[in-house]
Amino acid sequence: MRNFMTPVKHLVRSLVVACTFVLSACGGPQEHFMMTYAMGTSVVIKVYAEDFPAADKDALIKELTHLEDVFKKNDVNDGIVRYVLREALRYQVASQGAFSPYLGAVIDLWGFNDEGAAQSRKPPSDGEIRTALGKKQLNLYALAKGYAVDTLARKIERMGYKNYIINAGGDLIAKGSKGEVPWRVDVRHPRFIHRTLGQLKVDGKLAVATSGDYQNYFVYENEWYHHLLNAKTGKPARRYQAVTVIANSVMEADALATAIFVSDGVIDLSDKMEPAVMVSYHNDRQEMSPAFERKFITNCPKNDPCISRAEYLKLKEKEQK
Amino acid sequence: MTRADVLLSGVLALLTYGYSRRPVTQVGTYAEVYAGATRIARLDLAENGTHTVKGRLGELDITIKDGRARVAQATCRDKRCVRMGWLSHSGEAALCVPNRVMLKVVSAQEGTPDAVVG
Repeated sequence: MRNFMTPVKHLVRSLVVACTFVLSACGGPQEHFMMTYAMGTSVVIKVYAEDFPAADKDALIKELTHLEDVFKKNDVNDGIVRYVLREALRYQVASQGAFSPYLGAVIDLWGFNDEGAAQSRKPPSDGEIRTALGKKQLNLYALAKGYAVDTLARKIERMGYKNYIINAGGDLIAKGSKGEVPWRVDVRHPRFIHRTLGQLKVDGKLAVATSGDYQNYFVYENEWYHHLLNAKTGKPARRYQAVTVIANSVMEADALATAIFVSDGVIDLSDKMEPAVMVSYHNDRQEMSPAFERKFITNCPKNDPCISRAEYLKLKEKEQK
Repeated sequence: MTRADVLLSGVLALLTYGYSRRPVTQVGTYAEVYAGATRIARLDLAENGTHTVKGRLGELDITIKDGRARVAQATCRDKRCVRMGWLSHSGEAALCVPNRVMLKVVSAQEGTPDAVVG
């Protein structure tokens, strides 16, 4: 019996040593998670701290609900609306009118505010679009989500958290790190949803937003219609699949990404020190500014689009046809 | 060293051997340092430098140079991890069993992101 038990005892002791070794990692700060739904998207907050009590989570949800209400009412007497509108008008000027905060009626006409926005339907006629453009109805959603993320970030900092990520459907701020390890933020491929183009270095703080034609769209008679409308035509802009911008605030990144997308890149960025921008074209190629490149670690092979060889060859074949 | 330690070392060595035999496909992006099951550092292979990490028995020096990583110095008797030399490709690893420290190279695609934008 002794001969049989001794190795078992040692094995158990080995396992205990191994388990203690593993479990020793479980004390101290850890990652906490919360998720809610606002402004038509999921909002995920991750915090690396000792604790993230329910009272703090409730306060953040309350703030978000308040902001959602503010941007639904769009009352120009409200200080928040006035501030965001003022910012939006700067981008309207920079994009020579391609971006506009007065597209509410046009967005409604296209049905991009509705629950069934992805359902196939006939696009509106030129006459209907002209009438809707003439209504100049305020819609600040191009900046509102970014503003909300910035506001939540300020609130979370006041609560004492230094290491967190707030991600409102791709409008993201990441601060600090996950202990010794930096937060890892990936940029998704505009066409292959389970693939990422690369990673963004957080380096203490990262504020980023993407405008993509895949975020809110429908297909009618093999034509793709998305929600990023050029304010001059009232129709979807066609040059890019996606535009990703890193900026000082999420609202700035959000506004800039939308303005670049809807203006097909015809925008005055002279007031920006060094814009960090990546654009994805319809041939699945990306182009990025030097400032973006410094923050980006590609997941793609050099001189090759970020897709598999087989998919790349298929695309090439299609191009040749 | 007890028989239990020998057994545990054997298991860890087998796991490391299995890990190191994974097909090496691409040049790595990061060197990750684990103390037990916990990742204690993620070092960018593009940034040269020497980093000191704490193991069970003492300190180890990890050197990053020209896209490669190695355990430069370790406080263990046999120095197997030091003798592993430079690691540069995703999947390569050096394990210091007495210190319970592993250095492994990963590519940017590996692991799970904390968030995805787009």
